Amino acid sequence: MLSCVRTVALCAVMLAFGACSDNTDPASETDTWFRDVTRESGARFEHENGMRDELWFAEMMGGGLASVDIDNDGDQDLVFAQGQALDGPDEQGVLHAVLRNDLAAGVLRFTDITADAGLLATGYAMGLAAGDVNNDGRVDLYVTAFGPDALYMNLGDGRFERTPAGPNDARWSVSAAFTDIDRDGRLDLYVGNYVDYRLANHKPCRSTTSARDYCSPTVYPPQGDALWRNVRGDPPVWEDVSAKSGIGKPAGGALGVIAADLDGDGHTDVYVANDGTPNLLWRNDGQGHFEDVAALSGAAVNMGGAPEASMGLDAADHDDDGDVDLFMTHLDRESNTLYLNDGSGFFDDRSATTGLASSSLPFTGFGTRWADFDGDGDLDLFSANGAVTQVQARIDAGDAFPLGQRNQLFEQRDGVYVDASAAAGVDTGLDVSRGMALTDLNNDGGLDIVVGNNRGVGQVLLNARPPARWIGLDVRQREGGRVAIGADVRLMTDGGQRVRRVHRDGSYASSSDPRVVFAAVPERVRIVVRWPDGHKRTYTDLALNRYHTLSP
Amino acid sequence: MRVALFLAVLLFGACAEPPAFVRHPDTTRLEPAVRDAIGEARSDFERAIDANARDAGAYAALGHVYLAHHLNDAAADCLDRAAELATAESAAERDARYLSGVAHAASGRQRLAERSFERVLAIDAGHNYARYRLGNVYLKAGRLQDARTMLHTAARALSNDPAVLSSAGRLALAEGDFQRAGDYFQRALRLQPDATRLFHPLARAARGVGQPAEPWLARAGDGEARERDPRLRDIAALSRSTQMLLEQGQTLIAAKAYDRAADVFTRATEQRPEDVFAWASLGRSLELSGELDRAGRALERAVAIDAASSVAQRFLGMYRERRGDDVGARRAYQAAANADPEDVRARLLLGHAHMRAADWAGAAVEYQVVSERRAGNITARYYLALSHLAAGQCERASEAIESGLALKANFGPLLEAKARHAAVCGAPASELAAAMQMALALEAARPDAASAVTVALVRAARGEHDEARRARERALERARDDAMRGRIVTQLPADGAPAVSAWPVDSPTLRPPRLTAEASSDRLN
Repeated sequence: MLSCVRTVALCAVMLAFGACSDNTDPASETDTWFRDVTRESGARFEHENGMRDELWFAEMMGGGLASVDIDNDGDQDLVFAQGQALDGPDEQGVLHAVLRNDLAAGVLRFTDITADAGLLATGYAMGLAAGDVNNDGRVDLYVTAFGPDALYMNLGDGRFERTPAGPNDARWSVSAAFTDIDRDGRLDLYVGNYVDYRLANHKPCRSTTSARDYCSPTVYPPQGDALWRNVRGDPPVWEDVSAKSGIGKPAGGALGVIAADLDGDGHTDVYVANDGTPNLLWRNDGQGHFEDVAALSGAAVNMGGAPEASMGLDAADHDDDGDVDLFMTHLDRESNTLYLNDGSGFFDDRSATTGLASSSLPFTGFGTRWADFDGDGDLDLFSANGAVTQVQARIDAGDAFPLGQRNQLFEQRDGVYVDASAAAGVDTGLDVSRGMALTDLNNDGGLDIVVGNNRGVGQVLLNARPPARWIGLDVRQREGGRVAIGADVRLMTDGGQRVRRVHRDGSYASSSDPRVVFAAVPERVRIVVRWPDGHKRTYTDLALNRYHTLSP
Repeated sequence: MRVALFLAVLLFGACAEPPAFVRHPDTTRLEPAVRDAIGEARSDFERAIDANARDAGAYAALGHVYLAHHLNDAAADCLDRAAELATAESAAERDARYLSGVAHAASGRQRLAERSFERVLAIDAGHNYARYRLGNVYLKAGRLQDARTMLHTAARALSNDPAVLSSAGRLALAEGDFQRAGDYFQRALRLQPDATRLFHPLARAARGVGQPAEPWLARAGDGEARERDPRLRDIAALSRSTQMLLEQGQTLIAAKAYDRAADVFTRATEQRPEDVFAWASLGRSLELSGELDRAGRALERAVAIDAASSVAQRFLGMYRERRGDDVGARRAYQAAANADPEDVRARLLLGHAHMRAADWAGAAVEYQVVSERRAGNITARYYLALSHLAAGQCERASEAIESGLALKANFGPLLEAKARHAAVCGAPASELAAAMQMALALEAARPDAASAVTVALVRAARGEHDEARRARERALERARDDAMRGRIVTQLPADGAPAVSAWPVDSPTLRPPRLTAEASSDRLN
């Protein structure tokens, strides 16, 4: 009451001087890096988590999405994984939402084509992985779920059809990655499985305050992951090679999955972010077998030897030294962690010295991506946040789903990350953010962010400050063919090089725009593309401020 | 405008004294005992504040109760206010600032924590736990030089606290001083050998000085270096949360402080008389502290509350085993496994009980299940190999040994099992020679009865009867009790002739020393 009185008094003083207003200063709004265009663009999606005040573990984990060009019209469409009731699925079925991007003259406009797209859920969906599994130039979708997963083939006219022959892991999976493990030209699939939780084995748990709360994943046994090899044909024939490849043993509850050549030997490795147990680095020996070398390579646990509750992750060359570094989001009171690659596949936890430790302690991070959000040439970081145990302040505020936290954006300045969330305009809400996709929705070179909020509205953050000089690259396996997942692209500069990977995976339960954007580029650029088969090509005559489609 | 200014001045005048703002956390979702404790603390607080609105002690007391129940935001409010109201630079201000720093740090508010700890050190330069915590804040902020000033001094002053040494080690790692990092981590491990997480940074430090990391990683586990801050222990004792008491009791058991664990579990049973886990944990802590009669009664109560509790049945089995009641123990373990087929600890213990009853096949079934449920569990594979060896199932034993070694190639017990396998499974001379080398190396590294038995087994298989006899004698000398001696005598022929099986003489499958001759399972059932 007293504080209220004081506010009135303060306002009275300010009114007297003509400075008190309910309206936000419009200038400050346009100054932010991002603008929330969810409503104005028609990108309306509300996630349903099916909660019933039973604190079911699965209900607070979903919220993944994908940024994909489903109709090959040159702009990125959005697909959101929808949840449903956990204790008795809707008999009518639940459709995952598809929002078609009808970009025209630079104006972003989405049309909801959910009803026609046909993405009928088979389980309680967690997220999406995207990839063209039959090399027909159309991106297909894999939906991870609490319950059976499903692979949907893109029919090319905005509709999808579930293929019963596809990978259909019935275990609880969250993130998955399409990648060509055996370099046979077809995308294989790694599925990260979480824990053996069922409503039948639901356990009552309490938080440190003694309040009834969601359980820790360690309460339930971990599940082994799955690796599906895309053997041949259209539709593809899949072989479950989990056991024989060595990745099948249950070694932790997987939440984040990313495929990248982490040791520079030319074979795609897989890094798995586990929740509360040591992370895995599956080194691909190129002969179809994987060995976990995370502990030996220093990427299993943090600097203190503690396994962390890893949720989302990304892999990128954060310091432009030519190798792939790793970043993971974690539980509050744990810091987010940056593992720096020394070039030979050995990693060091550099979270503290890069400014990423303290700033993330109050938050639980999920979806994340490295990207040059401010167009200055180096990589920044976004973290979609939302707690997994109830936040006392949200309980006190009467929130029925008290897990909301603000999102964060970290700007890189000379190798150190500074929390620039307010300047970027990404910290406006207290949502339970989970999935996050990186994309360029209006093809202006400014990298946009789409956030999937559990039991909330998906958020589209349009980059309001696109770079003045940029170049965008859509790298394909062949002309008109699928995206060359696993390729890397180097922008050669006077001072060195900037390396970016062509990938959709990483983040949390989400799939991103695979196109590569370099900002703050010189007038004449020299680009070197290396395709997954080792083929290289150099480009020196690419025009600036537009996307180019490159094929060998 | 004049009216507005007048109003403002008037109202600001009323607010000149800052209101005693304390957050009121919503306690409706908390355990009843916690709600009551907080309710009582708040009533005491309000009475004290009614009498004296500037009562620093009242704010501090309420802050302590909030902190004990992890309501950190509210705790920080109270403790900050207590510090403001306390006499400047007094012990009261110091203590309130210190705990407010702890609360802020627990909520991730590093800057506020930093300010609190800096103030503590300004008041009391000898407050080394504040120095340690401030060092951690600086370390997380990447301020390595400031962290060094704090943590090196703290590590000297608190040289018996593994968590403090571990922080100093992490700082050294961040600075790239790998030699120093290794020294700190090794000192921490000497103080707390079960802090097995520290083997990971030790491996990193080893790599940094050009040494192999693998030997350290082979010993890595998930044991955390624990703080020994007496102030926080006092605060934790204020907790009325049964959940917290149960967790606190588990921590005390891990620290082998069984008497204190029993006290804590007793409080838990008082707060929640129908909680089977509280009674079972009380029984377990009493059994470990040697109070067997009380342990029996507590466990009896636990299984009476819920006979289908796998934890209660498992603890009951352990209690019976301790009393020498192998049959009753086996029955309880079976009940635990039936109640929760996923309870791998119960299934391991059931496997051990089968082994003691010479039911090798039954043991193998349980160990196999555990190996499948916990694919990364190397000890389950070791036991599986032992059960197959004991049954003379050489091929299956070999499979289990090799699958275990695939998980961890330098796991000592499995290497020992491999040597024994060679000895009793008719291995060719070349394999026996390798087994001999391994057995001798293992005995040199750990000169106990089991390693001597391994040497005796391999010697005998190689026809080296005199050396086998001498190894047998060493084993008998080192045997820790008559039961073990009996097994050695049974297993190893006195004349140094080859043995027919490789029964494990010194493994966890052996029952712990019997504390009483009374077997009380009938009474408990």
